Amino acid sequence: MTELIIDDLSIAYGNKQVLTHISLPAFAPGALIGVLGPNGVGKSSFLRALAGLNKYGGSAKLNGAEINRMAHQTRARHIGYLPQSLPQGTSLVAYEAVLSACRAVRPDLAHNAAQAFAEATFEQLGITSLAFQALNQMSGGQRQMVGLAQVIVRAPDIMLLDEPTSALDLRWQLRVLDVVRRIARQQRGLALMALHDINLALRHCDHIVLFGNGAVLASDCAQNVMTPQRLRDAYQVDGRIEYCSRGTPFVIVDRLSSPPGQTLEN
Amino acid sequence: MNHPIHPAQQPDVPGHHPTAGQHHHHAPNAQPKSAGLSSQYRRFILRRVIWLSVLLVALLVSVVVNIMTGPALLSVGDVIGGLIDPAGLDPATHVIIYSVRLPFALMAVVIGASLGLAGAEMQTVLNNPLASPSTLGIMHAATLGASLAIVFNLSFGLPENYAVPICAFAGAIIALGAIQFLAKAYGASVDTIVLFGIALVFALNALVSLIQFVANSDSLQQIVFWTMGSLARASWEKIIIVSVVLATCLPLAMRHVWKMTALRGGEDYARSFGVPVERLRLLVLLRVSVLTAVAVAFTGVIGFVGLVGPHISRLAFGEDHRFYIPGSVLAGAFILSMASLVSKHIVPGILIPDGIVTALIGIPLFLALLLSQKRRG
Repeated sequence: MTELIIDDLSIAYGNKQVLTHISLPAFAPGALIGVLGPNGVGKSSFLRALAGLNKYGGSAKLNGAEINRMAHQTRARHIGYLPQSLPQGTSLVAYEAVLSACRAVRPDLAHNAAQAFAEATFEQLGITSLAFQALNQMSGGQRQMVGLAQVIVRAPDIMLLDEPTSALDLRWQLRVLDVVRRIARQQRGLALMALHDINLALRHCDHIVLFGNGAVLASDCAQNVMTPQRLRDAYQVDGRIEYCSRGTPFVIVDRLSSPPGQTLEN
Repeated sequence: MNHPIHPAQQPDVPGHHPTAGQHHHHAPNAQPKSAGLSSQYRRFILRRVIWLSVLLVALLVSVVVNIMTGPALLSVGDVIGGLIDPAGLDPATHVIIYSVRLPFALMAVVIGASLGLAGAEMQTVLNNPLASPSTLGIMHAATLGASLAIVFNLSFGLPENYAVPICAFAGAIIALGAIQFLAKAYGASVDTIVLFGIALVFALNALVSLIQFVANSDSLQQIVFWTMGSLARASWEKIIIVSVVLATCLPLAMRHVWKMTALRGGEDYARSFGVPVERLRLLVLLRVSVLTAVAVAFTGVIGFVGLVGPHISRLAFGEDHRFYIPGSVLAGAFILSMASLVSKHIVPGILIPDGIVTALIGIPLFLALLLSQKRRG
């Protein structure tokens, strides 16, 4: 069971404040949490901070331990972070990349155990046929799957995935969301995912954290989180929340709500 | 990637994540291919082990041929018999093998191995396939350090075989520090770093020339010997020093293999695996400096071995560092061993400096790599 408590967290990039006074109560164990917000709002910085890779002010505690004070190895053991960039195209084959991720993080594992982890991960993600292909001969989407496999193979308590579906087609997007949710539930861990596709997030996440203007605009279950006002505040668009025949909310965006000429960055 | 799947129906995803020691069961309709990922991997590893052995055998053969070759031709039987049973040799052959040919041949092996290791580690931590002790000017900096030691008699009370490598090390580490600093300040793209390296080579060559200009004729000869790079001054003491350094650095390198392999995925990935990237890079570059300094102090600038060795290894063994590192060590040793053979043959009776041979072989390869790098963008 994994507990993440974020209290008065603030993140600066250089000397520019990105996010300030972020406080989030503990999420339910096993939850898949979508992190939404416009470009440049600090979704990536937020995940990097939780991964211990960015400095932060305030406090973020994983199971009672302050994340930026954990030792490298302990942090890697408990936190699995998938960067937004794809893994480098090297002559490593996928199996080696995944196995080395497991061995680098878990020196305690026997060779056979690490291999069993790797094999199960390939099966879980349905990428066994890629196992012995070199990364420099894969498509972007395939490399993204290998990157995700490198996170899953370590069986972390908390997964921080920065746009894990950005290079994937529909079928693989669904597969990734499915596998990640399943793992989070089984281990009673947590998965936080930065996503751009609001409807994908509403449909598959248990909980949504919506960032806007350097703060949390909303943190609520997927069913209730979106309102026209919040869409306007976060993305500066006018939109409606409709419900599909199965009762899942989805967002339809009609137009930009602010006059053009606004910069991309907030 | 050829089995269509509906989100509601995913029977081939195993229902659990395995834990250590737990036997893994396959889901009933998992792809048949997945039945043997670990056994496939074992075959994959076996192939690499076989190729490593082939390379090792090729290296041993090249050493034996190297010992056979020279003004007095020895047969394979003479050499192998002489190596197994030195007492059974006639005194003349004993001198040829043990005082002339064997030190020369072994020097080629240990220097080549050191340079192969240095190049391989450098390419990984700098994430730059064109990095090597010679292309980034580390060797030239070590030469400058060594030249200063000779010309100004910097001995620190140590014998020359120790004082010169120490000064070479100082030169190497300053050059690597400069490259690290410039990379931090101006970006670490592949060509930027190589351009820094080239600038460094020019600057250091000018300084070495300046020292040559003020040196007396004795020191001058030694400096010229360095700038050309030659194994001719091999001695047992030097072989032992290089071997000890190599035998210290190689196990340390092997301790980092998983972290180094993880680093190939990119710095962000390595950091998320708990690899302290900055510290690892520092340790590795220290190791590279020591290896380069010792090699340069005894044989001078032997370029491109540290560039080409790792590339051969990467082509043959991929980038799993458990194979890539030993592969580079063996490939480096093999290249220099072959180069020293060639250097005996170009002009019969005259030993062409090995640095000239490796440069002539290495530069076309360097250009080819540079161009293929450009094409890849």
